[in-house]
Amino acid sequence: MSEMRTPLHRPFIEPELRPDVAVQPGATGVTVGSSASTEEIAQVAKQVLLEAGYPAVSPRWNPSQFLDRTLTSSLDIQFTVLDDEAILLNLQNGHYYTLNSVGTVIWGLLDGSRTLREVLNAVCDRFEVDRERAHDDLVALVVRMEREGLLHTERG
Amino acid sequence: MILLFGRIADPIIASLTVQLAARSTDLMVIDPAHSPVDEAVEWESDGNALLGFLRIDRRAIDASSIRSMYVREIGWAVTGATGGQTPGGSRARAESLWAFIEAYGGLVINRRIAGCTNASKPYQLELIRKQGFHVPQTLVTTDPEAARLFWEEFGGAVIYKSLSAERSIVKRMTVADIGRLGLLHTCPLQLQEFIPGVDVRVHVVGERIFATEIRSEAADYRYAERVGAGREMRPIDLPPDVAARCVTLTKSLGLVVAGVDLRRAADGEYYCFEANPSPAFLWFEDMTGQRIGEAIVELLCRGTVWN
Repeated sequence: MSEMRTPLHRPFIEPELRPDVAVQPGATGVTVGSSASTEEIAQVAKQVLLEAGYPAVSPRWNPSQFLDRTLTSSLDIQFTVLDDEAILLNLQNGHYYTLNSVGTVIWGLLDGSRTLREVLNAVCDRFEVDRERAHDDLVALVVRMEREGLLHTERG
Repeated sequence: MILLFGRIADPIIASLTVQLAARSTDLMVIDPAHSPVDEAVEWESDGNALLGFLRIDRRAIDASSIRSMYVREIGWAVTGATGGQTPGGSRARAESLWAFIEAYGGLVINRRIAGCTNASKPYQLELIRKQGFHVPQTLVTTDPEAARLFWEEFGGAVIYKSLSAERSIVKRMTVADIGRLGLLHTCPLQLQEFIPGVDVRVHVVGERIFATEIRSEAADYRYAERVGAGREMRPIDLPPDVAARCVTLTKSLGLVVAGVDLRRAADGEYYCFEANPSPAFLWFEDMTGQRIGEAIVELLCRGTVWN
């Protein structure tokens, strides 16, 4: 006796819930051979990151260069400080942001007159904080603020 | 010399490459998408340490010069019906590379055996539970009736996902899904009680941790846009005991780097779902500015987890 079994052979987890996570070779299909030099590999890698939408040549990839940057608030930002916490308004998109007391101090220091290294030094002088931890938090805050259009590079 | 195993087209490998090159580190990328010049991989060990040279693609690397390795993908492609060589080389080549990595006594992020626990999520969940984390009640079954009873036991607050390393998007089980439970006869399914709360991805890098809080209405924040849901991500501090448990869990699994998936329930308890041995940290780094890749690069350059 035959039975209609075809539908039962489908997996319960349907195809749309099984994403293809294989790495795509990219528009240029780039690969590198084991004999490629470090410089050659790095050039290809930067191209891959640019294609993938990551800022390959951003100073963020080079910690010492990152700290050499001088940033200042964007023109379209209004802010006020209430009880040691800053409230920022991005006039471009209408988004509000709040900063805690440490973030507020950092925001005040990002006035275009100091490098991020000097800002980091100032934070470490002012607060009892491990330098590595302060570095982590400063980078995280700056990257997010740049992403939100709150900061721009003054120079460097 | 630092060896990176993975495709240069993979942004994870590309980002590590750029950062390592910026530190003037000598690198070699073994890219499984690249057709090897020569299938042969040759190396020698006395049972304790590698001896002499690693010969690969007609290049010889002094084994003593290797400071560390990062393994994202070894890969191998089935040789075509015509017997022609395909990109990535043969399975024998891939297995030889895996054996080489295992024979290497220095820092490897991560070793194959350590990553294997993620291939069985219920098994890994048991190891996670032993480290003191809360874990969701879980049922793995091919029995439609058992699945239905589990769903009823939790008032319909149940999710389902794959139980192997095969990725699936986590989904809440609906009434419509209950009508399809007959399909379980052909393949087991993992069901878990739904834990309401806030997702936290913790990237453990040696002794360091980078915790990211993710708020999303989607059952699986990674694919929030597919269901029209929003997603907000921000770096957070974990309670010290939870942070320490993440590091201990990573170590206990034999991993150096892991992406630990937590959820903070409404009562403040942290549940752990899994530890990913090859986390795609770049996305988190890009969204939050957390210096995860840089921490990995520091380990690779140091050649040890310890200072």
